[in-house]
Amino acid sequence: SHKYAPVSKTVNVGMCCSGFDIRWDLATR
Amino acid sequence: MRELGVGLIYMPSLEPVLLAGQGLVDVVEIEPEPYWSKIPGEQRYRINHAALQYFSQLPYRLLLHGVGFPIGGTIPPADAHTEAFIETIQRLGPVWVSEHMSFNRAADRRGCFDTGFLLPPLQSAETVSIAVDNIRHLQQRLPVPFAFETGVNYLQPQADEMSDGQFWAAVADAADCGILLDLHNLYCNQVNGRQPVLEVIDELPLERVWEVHLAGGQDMDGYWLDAHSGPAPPALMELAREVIPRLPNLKAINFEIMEEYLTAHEIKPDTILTHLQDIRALWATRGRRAGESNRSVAPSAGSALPSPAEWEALLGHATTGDAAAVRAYRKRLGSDPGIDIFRRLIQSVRGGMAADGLHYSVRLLLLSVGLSRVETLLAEFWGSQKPGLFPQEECRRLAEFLRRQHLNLPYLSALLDYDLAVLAVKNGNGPVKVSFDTDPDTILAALDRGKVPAAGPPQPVLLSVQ
Repeated sequence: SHKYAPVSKTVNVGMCCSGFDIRWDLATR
Repeated sequence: MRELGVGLIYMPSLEPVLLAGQGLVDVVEIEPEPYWSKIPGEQRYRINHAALQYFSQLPYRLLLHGVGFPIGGTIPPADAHTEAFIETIQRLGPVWVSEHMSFNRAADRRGCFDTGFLLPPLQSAETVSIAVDNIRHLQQRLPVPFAFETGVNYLQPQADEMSDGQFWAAVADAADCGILLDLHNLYCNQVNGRQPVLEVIDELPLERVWEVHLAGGQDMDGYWLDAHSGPAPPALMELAREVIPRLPNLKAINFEIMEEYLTAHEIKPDTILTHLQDIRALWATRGRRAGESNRSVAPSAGSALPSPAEWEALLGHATTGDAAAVRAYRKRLGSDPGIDIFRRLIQSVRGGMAADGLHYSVRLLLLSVGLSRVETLLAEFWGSQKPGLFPQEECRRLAEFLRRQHLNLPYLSALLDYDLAVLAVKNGNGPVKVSFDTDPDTILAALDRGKVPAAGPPQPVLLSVQ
């Protein structure tokens, strides 16, 4: 839907215990 | 084999402890798999050599502790893993290496699947033979000695199963390998109704214990979890004071804590440094009462038990599948509330992978449709697809699932592309180009502030993530 010339940009940028993973809880705060 | 001393499982957020704790830390144990990534389309791993270079210069003795390819299952560690493990060993020169006496892959008529979690093997004579074969195969290829870790098990023992101590003793003796005695795992097992710690100790060949792990845990619905969520509890330290003097060949004690809990529980470096001082006091008692062996090993019949492969399929499906899979487990092996504990823990890991790997997409979803709807979507995904062992696999499958839901959320498709691109590039598989139909800087900045991105002026942008 978007006659506009594309613009190019650049941005410069592994699972281990048997307990509860709190990363999801942290992500919802 | 030389003594190493007291140390930590490496986590980046523990660097302040290493900086402040010179003299308290002798050894650093590294979990290698987080620094490997699968090469797309190939059965081998790319190793993060920059990380290994960093570790190789640390002024500590090093150990390697595998976390992804346990040796207690009927599906042995893949050659690709063993090759990456060997390459990592050659770079870092650990005195010995270790892996878990668990399984995380199972098979049924449709093929193999990952469980996404370390699950307990059936403790039968047949499993002993399988584990011994797995260890011997590894020993033939590894350039350093191998020890297995004694695992946590939230299930109640099956009738006719070997006791925890008998099972681990039989494997260690037959494989002629070392034991990584995770005392917090044994403590969890005791609190959750399995064999008492000191009974396990009486059944083990204590001369094979080279390493001890200590950690903290937490309660969930009456179960004590191996959460690595803080210092070892006082009751565990009391048990350690009983056990460590009885270990004649102990070479290292390592403390484990997950870095997310440092923030969540506001655990400061001083707390860990004080705990390390307590652990050093334990270390000083090693072997003092090494002659005190109460070892007694009784044979176990095991006649009514399923085969190890059947056990793995039943437990693997019951902990990762639908209600029918749980019913199938109950019908064959009986009801056990530990199954629900494993299911919740596996789901927490999958949620953690989503939160980390699809960071911006998850944030947009939470802001747009709310937590309840997002958790419903995740539950549908988890019910329909088995876990991925590595985050890249899990996140790619979740992204495909979310696209099929036709949620009609502005920017979601581009953000899924962007999150997957960042994962790919950070794992060495870049650069990746991502198309946005407005300025991505504005979208990402809004999400960073916890705001739904406002509609921006239409402007195609081709973002190169590298």
